[in-house]
Amino acid sequence: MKKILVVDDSATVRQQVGMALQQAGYAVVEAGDGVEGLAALEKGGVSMVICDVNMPRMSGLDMLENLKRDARHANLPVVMLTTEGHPGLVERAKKAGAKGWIVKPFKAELMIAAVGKLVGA
Amino acid sequence: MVWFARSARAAHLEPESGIDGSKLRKSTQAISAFRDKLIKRVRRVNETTALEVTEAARYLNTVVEVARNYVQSSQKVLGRLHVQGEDNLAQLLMTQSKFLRRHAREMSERAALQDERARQAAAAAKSIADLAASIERLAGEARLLAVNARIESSRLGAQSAGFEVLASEMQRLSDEVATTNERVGELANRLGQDLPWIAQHARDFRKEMEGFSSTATMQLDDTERAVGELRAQLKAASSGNGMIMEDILRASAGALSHLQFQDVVAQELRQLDGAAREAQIEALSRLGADSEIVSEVPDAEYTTVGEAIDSQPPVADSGEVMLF
Repeated sequence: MKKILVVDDSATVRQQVGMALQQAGYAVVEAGDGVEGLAALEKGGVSMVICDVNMPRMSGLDMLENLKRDARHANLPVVMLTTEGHPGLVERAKKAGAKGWIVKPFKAELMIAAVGKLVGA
Repeated sequence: MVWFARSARAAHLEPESGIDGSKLRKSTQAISAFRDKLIKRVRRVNETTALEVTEAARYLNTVVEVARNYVQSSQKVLGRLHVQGEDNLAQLLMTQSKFLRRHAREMSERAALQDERARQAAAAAKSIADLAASIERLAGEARLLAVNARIESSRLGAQSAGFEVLASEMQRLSDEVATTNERVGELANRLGQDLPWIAQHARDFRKEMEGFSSTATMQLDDTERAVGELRAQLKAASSGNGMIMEDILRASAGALSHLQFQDVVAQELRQLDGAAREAQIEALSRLGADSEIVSEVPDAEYTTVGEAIDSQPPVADSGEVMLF
């Protein structure tokens, strides 16, 4: 079973993303911000990251840039999940190596389809 | 960041006269206290709504789990029935049906054969009776020859010993033929009486068997049709269950999407403090506050990366997925 790391400071979003992923047959690990997210990656076994942008301590974009600098995680697909849709942010994420951008509130079936496309079922 | 730019612009404005530093400091402290209250309130609202939404999502998840379990268990039962229907019940019925059909056909064929043999036997019995009548005639002729031989013998006297022997033998043969023929005749007559009865019963049996075979075939057709309908119903029920589960999952996913309003609202509420901070700094700048007073303005509770980057319109709408 593929394991997806969900990083969001909102517990409700983590829960909702987690439920949608679990119903689609994925295992889920959660982190509350970028710092926790990077720590969760150290434990290994993560196939993909779904990450909020605006978070305390370390933003999603900072986390993305950090993990892409680490050779162990450089190829890990990362999709940003955020209320933001500003072109500058999207461009920054793209440049940093993000594989996708989902604007909240997300539609579960579209998110699952994107996850399936990036890591398979 | 945006508010710095605004503050810088504001710094070029002429400060209003007659406002001293201590009053400004008190004002900014009052606004900071207001912001503190505001953010506490916002936190409380966010915590409460997050709690409620989390609970709602948990209940929703429970509904999905219960539905999933129900559908899985009914699928299991339907699957078992389906499999049993295929492998056991229906298979058994089909086997029995084939067996009965084959035996009904064989019995019918045997009855037909029996009928045919009975007819042939009746015809043979009649032929025997006819032959017995012919033999009777031959026996009569033999007796006549014996009488003639005896007459000839008495006419020739002592020289007729051969004729006498012949006459005696002819008489004896004639008597034996007559006796045997009488028995054959009796048997033929008896057969002639019994065989039509047997033939009639064979015909009746054949008709019965044909009727049974036809009824059994119809009943077996009905059974096979019923089994086919049962299979179709099981298949439909099974696929209906799958559709119900899909509907439940779709509805739950829709409900979950709507529950995300909490996060969106929470983020907007938290940004109120950022806006209040900007207003506070702008006001201070317009009032001619120095950088020391401005530096005392507390940081915003929550700033977004988005606002710090640009203020262009978004490139994606809610729910949209962009894959790079």
